[in-house]
Amino acid sequence: MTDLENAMEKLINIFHQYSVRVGDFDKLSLSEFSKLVKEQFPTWKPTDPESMKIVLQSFDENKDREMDFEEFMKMLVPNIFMRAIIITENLPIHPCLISPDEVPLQTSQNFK
Amino acid sequence: MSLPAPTHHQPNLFLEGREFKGIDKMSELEMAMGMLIDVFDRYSSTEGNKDTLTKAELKTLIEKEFPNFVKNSKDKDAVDKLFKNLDDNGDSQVDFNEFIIFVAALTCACHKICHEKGPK
Repeated sequence: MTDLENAMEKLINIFHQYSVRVGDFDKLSLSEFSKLVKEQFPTWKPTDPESMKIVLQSFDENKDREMDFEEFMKMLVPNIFMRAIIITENLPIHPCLISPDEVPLQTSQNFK
Repeated sequence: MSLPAPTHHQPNLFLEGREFKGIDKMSELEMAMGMLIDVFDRYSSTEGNKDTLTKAELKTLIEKEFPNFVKNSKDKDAVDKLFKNLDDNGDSQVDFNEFIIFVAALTCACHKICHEKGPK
């Protein structure tokens, strides 16, 4: 597998690692989403349940109170993008995930 | 979302930049995200603007990273079409934001295929 295919497969696998735990095996419930954020984005703040709920809701396009894979990717895209900006600007901070306060939450992405 | 002009280019900084504190503690997800940045960087820096993909750079990226994508000569048009679709702002370059949206959509498609083929 090429590096890019590897990275893409990792994204799918990590999503599944958390989505299978509770209820619908292919969707992240609020608890699964909170666990994913805490473990995969340890520098993300704030992590209280209410804030996690707000983030999930902002990306929950079909309003089923869970995050499916497409919504998950839509959440990741602005964060990968912000990370790339940090790197190219050579900012002296750990390439952490920007917290929801700093990234404008985008609920509609121009997926083709 | 507009990308501010970078002050200078640093290829492979994400994975090799040991000067970042705590880089050994990157989670799996952060590593995957870093890999995406790294791959883009590898191809975008070969010619012209080091932070965008020209059509030629995109073609090379697809041939090397998705070897099954372009199998025969009929698919040559596919790359042209793809480039046109990705170039959202019409500047004949694919910047990182346009690229990452493409990768995200592709990953969603792969995920759907995973499930169509049956549970793991």
